[in-house]
Amino acid sequence: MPTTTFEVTGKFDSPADCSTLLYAPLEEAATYRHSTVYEFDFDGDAEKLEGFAYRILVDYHAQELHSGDDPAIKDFGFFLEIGMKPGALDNEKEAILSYYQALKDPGFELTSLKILRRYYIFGTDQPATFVRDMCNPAVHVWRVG
Amino acid sequence: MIFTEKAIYRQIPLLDLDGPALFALSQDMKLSLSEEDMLAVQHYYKNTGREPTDVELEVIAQTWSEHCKHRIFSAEITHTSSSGEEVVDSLFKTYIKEPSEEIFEAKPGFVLSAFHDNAGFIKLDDERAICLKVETHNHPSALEPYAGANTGIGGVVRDILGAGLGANPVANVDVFCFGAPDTPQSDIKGDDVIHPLGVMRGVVRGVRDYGNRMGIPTTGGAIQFDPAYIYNPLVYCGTAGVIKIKDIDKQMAKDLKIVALGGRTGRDGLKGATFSSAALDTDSHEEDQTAVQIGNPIEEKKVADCIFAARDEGLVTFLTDCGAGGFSSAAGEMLSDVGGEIFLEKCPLKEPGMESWQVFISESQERMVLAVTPDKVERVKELATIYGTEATEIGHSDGTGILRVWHHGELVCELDNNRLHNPPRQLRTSRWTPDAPDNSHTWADEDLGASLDGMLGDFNICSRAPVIREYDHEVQGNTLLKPLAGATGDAPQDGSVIGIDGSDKAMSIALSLLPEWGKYDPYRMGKACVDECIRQLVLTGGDPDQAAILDNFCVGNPDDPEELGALVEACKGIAEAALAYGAPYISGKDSFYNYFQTEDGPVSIPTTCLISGIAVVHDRKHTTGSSLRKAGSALCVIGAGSGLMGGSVYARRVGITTAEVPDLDCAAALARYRIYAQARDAGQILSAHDLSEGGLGVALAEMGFSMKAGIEVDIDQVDTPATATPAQRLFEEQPGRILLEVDPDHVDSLRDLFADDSFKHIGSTTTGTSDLVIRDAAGVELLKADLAELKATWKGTLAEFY
Repeated sequence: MPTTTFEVTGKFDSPADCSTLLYAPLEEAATYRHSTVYEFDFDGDAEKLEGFAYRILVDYHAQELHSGDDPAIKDFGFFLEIGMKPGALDNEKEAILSYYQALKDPGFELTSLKILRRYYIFGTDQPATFVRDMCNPAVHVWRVG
Repeated sequence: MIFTEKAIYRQIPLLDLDGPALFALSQDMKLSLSEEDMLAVQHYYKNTGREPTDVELEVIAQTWSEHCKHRIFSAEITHTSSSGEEVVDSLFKTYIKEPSEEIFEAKPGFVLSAFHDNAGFIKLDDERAICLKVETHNHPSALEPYAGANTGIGGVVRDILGAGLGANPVANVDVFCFGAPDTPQSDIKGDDVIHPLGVMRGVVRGVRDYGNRMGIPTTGGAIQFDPAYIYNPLVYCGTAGVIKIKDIDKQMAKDLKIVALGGRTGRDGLKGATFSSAALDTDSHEEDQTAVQIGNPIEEKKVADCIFAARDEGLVTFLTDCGAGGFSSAAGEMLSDVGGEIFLEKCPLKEPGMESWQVFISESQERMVLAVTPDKVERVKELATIYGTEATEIGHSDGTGILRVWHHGELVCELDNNRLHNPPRQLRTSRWTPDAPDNSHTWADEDLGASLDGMLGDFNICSRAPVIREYDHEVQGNTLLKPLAGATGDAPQDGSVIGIDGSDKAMSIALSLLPEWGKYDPYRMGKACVDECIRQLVLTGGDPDQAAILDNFCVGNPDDPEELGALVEACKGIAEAALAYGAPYISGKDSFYNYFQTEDGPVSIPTTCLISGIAVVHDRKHTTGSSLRKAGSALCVIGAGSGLMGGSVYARRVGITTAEVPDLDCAAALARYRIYAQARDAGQILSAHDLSEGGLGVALAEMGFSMKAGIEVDIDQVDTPATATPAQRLFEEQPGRILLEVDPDHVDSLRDLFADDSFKHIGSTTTGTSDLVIRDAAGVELLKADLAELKATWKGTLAEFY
C-alpha cells in the first residue's frame, strides 16, 4: 500500500524568532519556519488523492502544496517534526477523515493518515533544546531531520 | 459507525488473596485503592460468592477514587493544634455542609439547590436562577498542559449543561498556579518536567481554544506564581450559568430510556479519575498518556444546543454529564437509587477492538447522558441530527436498585448501588503546630518608590493582559464589567459583572486565593479568601446579603500530617467566615496528591484554597469599576489596618517569612460592605478597589492606571497603628479594606454613614499631572512616581514571556 506525502507551506511566511518556541533564549540568533506534513496510506488513484489534498488541505490564496518526501523549505540547520501519538485524538485528522468518509466514490481508499508539524530551524544545528521544549513524550512522537 | 463485535472482559481472582496481595493487585491494575479498600471489595464478593470482573473493579476504583468520592474530606481526622487535640468528623460535613445549611435556613428561598446536582443554584429573580461551578484539572495539565486545560474547561462547561435540566453557560473563569516563567532550567529537578513557561503557554492556549470556540466569554481569572507549582501546576476552570427556576428540579424514575448524547467513545482519557488521585513522578509521562483527554469544543457546542432544544421541548427527565469515570459514573449516578441496565454494544466508538471496561470507563470528552421517557427518544434523536451530533439509546432504568452492565449478552458488571456508594471511611491524623510569629522586623524602607515599582513588576501583581487578551470576554454581549477596563481599557478590575438576558438583574463573579498566606497561617488564609471574594462581589455591584461561594482546595500530600493539618485549619477559617457573611457554599471540589518526587525529595504545593463566588446585582447601573474616573475626586479608605505584614507580597520580597498574618473581624467587615452597597446604589461612589495583594500602594497605582488623573495621598491619614512605618502603611494586606474614589461633596455624608467604622479621607486625584505622590503629615514627600512609568513596569513583566 503506497504512502504519499504532502507538505503545506505558507506563501507569505517569513522566518520568525525561535525564542517564541523555547523557554529560554538561545545563545545564537535562530529563526524558524513551519509547515504541516500529511502522510496518506492509500489504495487507488494517486491523482485523485492529490486533488483531494489540494481541495481540502490548502488555502490556495495563502498556501502552497508540495508533493513528495523532499523538504519543501531549503537551507535549514535541521527540522523537527512533531505528531500526536497513536491513540491520542487529533482533531484535524478527525475532521479530514470525517470529510473523506462522507464522499461518494472519491477514487481512492484511505487507510491511514498521519499529520506532523514540521519546524525548520535556521541559524543553529543543535536540536536538543528544541526537542526538550517542544516535544511532550506524553502525547507526541517526533523526528529530527 | 463503529461498535464492539464481542465482549472482552475477564474474571479477577481475589477471594483467596491476603491484604498485601490485594494491594499489589490494586497497584498492578492501577486502581489506586488502598489495602483496606481492597479488603472491603473482597468482603463484598465473598458475600456474593464469586470473583469480580475487571469491569466491576474498574467501576469501583473510579467510584471510590478521591476525585469522585472526596474521601479525605469525608474522613475522620484526629487533629492536633495549639488548641489541643480534637476529632473532626468529616471536613465536608463540619466546615462546609453544616454551616451552609445553617445559612440556607436563615435565608429561605435563596439557595434553590446545593450539594447534589452538578452545580448549585441561587435565586436571581422570580423566574431565573444562577450557578457557578469550579473544577480543577491539575494532573492532566502537568502532563500535557494544552490538552489538560482544554478539557478542564470542557468538563466544567458540561457540569453546567448537566445542572438541572440544562443550564446555559454565560461566563468562564480561570485560575492558574504556575512556577515562574523565568525559572532557570537547572532549578527543575526531574526528567520530562515541562518548564513552567511551557506549562503556562499550553494551559492559557488550551483554555482559550475551548472557551472561545464554544462562544462563552472568559470574564475573570487569576494567576499565582510560586516555585512549588513548578512540578504541580494548578488549573482551576469555572463556568457560570443561568437557568429557569422551573428547570432546576429533576428526578430519576423507573422505565426511562438512557440516551448517550455527543461524541463517541474512545481510549483517550482512560483511568482519568484514578490518575488524578495519585501523585506524579518522572514515569508519569510515559505511563499515563491515555489519561490525558483531548477536547473538541465544536462538538460540545453542538451537544449544548441539542440539550437546550430538548429541554425547551420538555423532552428531558434527567440529565448528567460524562466526566470522571465516563459512562460508569454518569449511568451509575443516574441509576444509583433506581437501578437499571446499560448495554455496551450499543455505545458508538471512535475505534474498534475496545474491551468492555474501556467502553464503560472511558472519559472521552463531549458526552452527556439523558434519561427520557420511551416516547421521547425518537425526538431526541431527531434533534441530535438537526444539531449535528449523535444520540444513542444505551440502556434503561428498571427500579431494581441494581446496576447491571451487559455486553453482547454477557453480564460484565453487576453491582449493588448501596454497596458501591459506601467505601470504607478513612481515619487520618493531622497537626498544625507552627512556631509563634515574630513581629520584630522593623519594616524600614529607604526607597518606597523603588519598592512600589518592584511590587508592580512582581509576577504575582503584574498585569495579566497578555493572557487576558487571549480570551474573548465580549461574546454573548453581556459583559458589563470586563476584566480590563477603565478609560484606557487596560486597567485591572476586582471582578466581573454579567448581564442576564431577559432580566433587569445581573450577576457579579469574583475569585480569591492567597497561597502565600497559607504557608504561615492557613486559618487566617481561609477567612481572608472568603472576605476578599465577598468584598469583590460587593465592590463590583453585588448584594452582600445575596452572595454564595464555592470552595476549591488543592493540597500536596494529605498523608503528611502537617499538610493535612493546614487543610483542617483552612477549613475552619472558611467556615467561620462563611457563617459570618451569611454566604453559603453551593459547590466545591478538592484535589490531592499535588506533590512530585524529585531527585532531592518530594515537593508539595502550598495548601491552595480558591474561594469563588457569585452575587445578585439588582440593577445593572450598580456596576462599579476599580479605575479612577476623574481629577478632583477625594480618595478615602474604609477599614483600619493592623500593621501586620505576614504573607504579604512585600514581606516575601524582602525575605521575611516569620511575621504574623493579619486576622479579620468578619462581622465588622460585613457591616462595612452593607453600608458601602447602600452608598454605591445611591450613586455616591465613583470607583472602588479592594486593598489586597500589595496593599494600599498597589491599589492606588492600579486605580491610577486609567491615567485620568494624578494622585496625592497623606500616608499618615491611613488608619493603622501609630507605630506602623510608611512601608507598613503602604504595603500591608489587612483584609476587609476598600479604597474609594468619591466626589468631594460626598465625603462628609459618607463619613457619617461609616460613623461606626474606620473612614479616612487620605488624599485626592490631581489635575495636570500623572504623578503618584505620597507625603507624610508634615508634608515630606516619601514617594513620587510617574503613573505612566509604573504602568509600563506593570504591563511589561508578563509580556516578555507570553
